[in-house]
Amino acid sequence: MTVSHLLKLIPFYSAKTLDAEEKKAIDEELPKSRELQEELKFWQRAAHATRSSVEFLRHGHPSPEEIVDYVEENIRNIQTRSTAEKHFQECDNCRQELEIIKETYPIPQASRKKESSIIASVLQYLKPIKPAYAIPAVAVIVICTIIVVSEFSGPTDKHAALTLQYEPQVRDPNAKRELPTLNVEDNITAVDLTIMVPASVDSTRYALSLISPSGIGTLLPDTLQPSSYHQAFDTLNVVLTRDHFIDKGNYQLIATEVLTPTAISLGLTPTPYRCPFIVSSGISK
Amino acid sequence: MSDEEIIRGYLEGNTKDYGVIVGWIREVVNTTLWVEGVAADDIISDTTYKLLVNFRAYRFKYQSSLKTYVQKITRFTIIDTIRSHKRAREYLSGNNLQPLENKSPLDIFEDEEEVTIFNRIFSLINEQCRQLWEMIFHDLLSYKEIAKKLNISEAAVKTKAFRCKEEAIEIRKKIA
Repeated sequence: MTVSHLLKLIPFYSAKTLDAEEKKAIDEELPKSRELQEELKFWQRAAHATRSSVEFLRHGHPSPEEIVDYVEENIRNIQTRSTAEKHFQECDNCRQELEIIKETYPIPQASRKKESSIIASVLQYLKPIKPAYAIPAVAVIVICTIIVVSEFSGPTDKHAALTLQYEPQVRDPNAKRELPTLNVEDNITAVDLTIMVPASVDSTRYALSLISPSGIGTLLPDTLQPSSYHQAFDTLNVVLTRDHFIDKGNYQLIATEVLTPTAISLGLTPTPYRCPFIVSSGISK
Repeated sequence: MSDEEIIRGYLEGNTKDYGVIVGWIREVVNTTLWVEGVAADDIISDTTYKLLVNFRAYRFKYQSSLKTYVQKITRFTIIDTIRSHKRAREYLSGNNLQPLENKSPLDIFEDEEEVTIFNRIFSLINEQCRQLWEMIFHDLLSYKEIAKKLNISEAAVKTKAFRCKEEAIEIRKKIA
């Protein structure tokens, strides 16, 4: 038998319905022929698709047409309808399909009519008090409102963000280190600073102070709880208004542990973590 | 533009008419967020293929508006697609497709794709081929038995199976 003859037998080989002689011929040729192997792969996939599809429908699941008819209330026969209803109650998959199909319809006519009737009744009330100049008047009011809002409202609330690193306690003072830089542009209203400090076992809060380029320190009013705890680091997030950055130059944010009474009684002292950064442009630039 | 003109344009490959029909399909498909591997694009391409076959065979009888008809076919396709994916998933999660050790991830991915595509092809292939495949793979009839049942020659059965394969490949080209 030639390969082209064998090719036509492959679907039946895949279904195992060939007689012994034909099967043997394919068994012998298959390892040698790439074409036969590809053909067999195709028919094996077709076989699976066919079997699973037929099995599925033989389990009594409704066809797509029946599901759509059910949703559109086109099943007139009461018995057919109740059979379908019972099936949907028992079969999770079909119920899920039913729900998906229901979602694909636009707003039901009934509620759409209700919506339009509400609009109609509102318009009916407005009709007697709607003079001819109403539309231009409304347009003028809208334009004026837009102008007033755009003129008198403040700048858009925009935050700058910066992640700071603490100055290690043991470091070479001569070593060069590139400091993070913050550019406080005119439209910036606040700065979000993220600080990562070594995880503390003695405290759950930190006190923060900001040292300006002129050396003036400001203790920030609230102590801060880390926003996230890591095995090695605590992460602190602080938001400072732009008033804190009047001058440009080198700033330092210092995070100091607020020790628990037990830690203090044990004679521990809090560790300050210095986080230097540069403000490249400030308010008084 | 009348429904008749849209259909004519669609069959002639007119982009504008094709766009109108795909727009109607999208209205239905885009109402829900598709999960579990079902791709909205699969539904759209399967629906456009079904419509092409139906329009060519004059199956649209103008008993409803064309838009209603298109959207109904889209809903049928949605169910077909969900079922195809479900069957493919069941098959893949079973023992039938345990990846071999020497198989590359790309091969495994291609296998998975192929299983899904074949399930979609089965829902799109013509009725005659579907029946033939059912006889071969579900009823497990030999080509001799099928020939007897259909009252045709044995060679004709094999040729029919071959033609169905060609059709499946054509469908695959259009949808994949």
